[in-house]
Amino acid sequence: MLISGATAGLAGALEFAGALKVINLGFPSGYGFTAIIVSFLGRLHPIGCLIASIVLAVTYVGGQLAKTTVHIPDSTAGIFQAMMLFFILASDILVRYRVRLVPSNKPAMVAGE
Amino acid sequence: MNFDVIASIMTIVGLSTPILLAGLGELVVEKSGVLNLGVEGMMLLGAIGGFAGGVMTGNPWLAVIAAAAAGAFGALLFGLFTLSLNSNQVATGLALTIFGTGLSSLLGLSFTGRIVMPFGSIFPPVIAKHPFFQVFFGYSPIVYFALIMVVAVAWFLNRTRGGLILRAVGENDLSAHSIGYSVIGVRYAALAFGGAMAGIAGAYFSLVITPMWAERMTAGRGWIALAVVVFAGWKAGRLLIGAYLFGILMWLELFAKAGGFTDFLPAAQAIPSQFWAAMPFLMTVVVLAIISSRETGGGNAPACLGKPFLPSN
Repeated sequence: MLISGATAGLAGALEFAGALKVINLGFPSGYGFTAIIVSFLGRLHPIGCLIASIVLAVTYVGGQLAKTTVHIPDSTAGIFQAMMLFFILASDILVRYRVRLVPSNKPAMVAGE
Repeated sequence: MNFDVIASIMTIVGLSTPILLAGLGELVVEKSGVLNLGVEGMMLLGAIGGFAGGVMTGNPWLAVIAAAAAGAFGALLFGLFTLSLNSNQVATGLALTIFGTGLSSLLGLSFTGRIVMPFGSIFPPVIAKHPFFQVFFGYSPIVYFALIMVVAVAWFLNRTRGGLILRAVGENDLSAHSIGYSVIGVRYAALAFGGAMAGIAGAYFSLVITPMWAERMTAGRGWIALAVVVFAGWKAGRLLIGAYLFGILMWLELFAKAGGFTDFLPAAQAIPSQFWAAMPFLMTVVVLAIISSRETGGGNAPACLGKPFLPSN
């Protein structure tokens, strides 16, 4: 918990020192929640998180680019991120369980481990 | 500056009502053993759903029904992932909040700058605008609905067969399953109720407090509602007290901004208003720390809270 707080604080300081140089209201811009997507998308693995954070940065930059070039509202990037997390979490069931047809022709979930 | 008691009480009621509504919904959801952290997202879906309903139909009652439907839609989406596909409830709840925030912003674009008829009092103006009696009769019907629902939820959970089944599902899902109750069905129903209540709480922002649409207008109240449920020890009566306590804390910020402390407590006026704004959240942390450090460790929490239901065939 201490390490996670420290790294989160570092992330905030980096954003302030590097990108913005001013503190304004709404300064953290919701990156904290995005970080939760990153850790799940990275399958709770450090290397995975590195890749996932780059993927999510692409959706941010892409959302801004889409706003300036084709005038799509930037909230679509948020919806896209949420749906990505939904699908990642839902796909776990296919990783952990095997779908098998039982005699009554009803698909049943059977523990695969 | 004069201290206006009537106006202050009415402001506190206005601040507390959405927390109370969303908290009651979440209470029922958590009693059934599901932890839905997407309250904020469902409130925003309800806010835009209610506003859109209000603009299209011009009828505030239909607008509230639309808000409840929008909130329930978000909750059922959550149910699809956590109950049918057994995904992680905490992460899915956060995803629902991100989804609700994004979708409400997107849908809200076409409603920016439009206004609806404010959902004001239903009582005759003689008492609704009366300088004293407005403190009882001057509110939107949603306020009275919230108070009725406190009694209704307490009665349902403790005095009815359905409430007993719901609590059984939340305390021991495998036992409830083994005597023939549909755990998943009960949890879907609880989620739909919780979503509808969160939706109505959101509509309180877009139909009553400010009859117009603004992005992220629920301003983190969904998170406070989640904390109040824990604060209340999963009891509807205490939830009422908790919601109004947090309402008073939020009112203190407005009170300090308006210079209310100047006359009788000048020292308090020196504290920046941001401190008061942080108070409800600070209070949340303190309350959670006290509750979890007690001997019982928040023993009122439903035993199956947040755990997926995995019957071993």
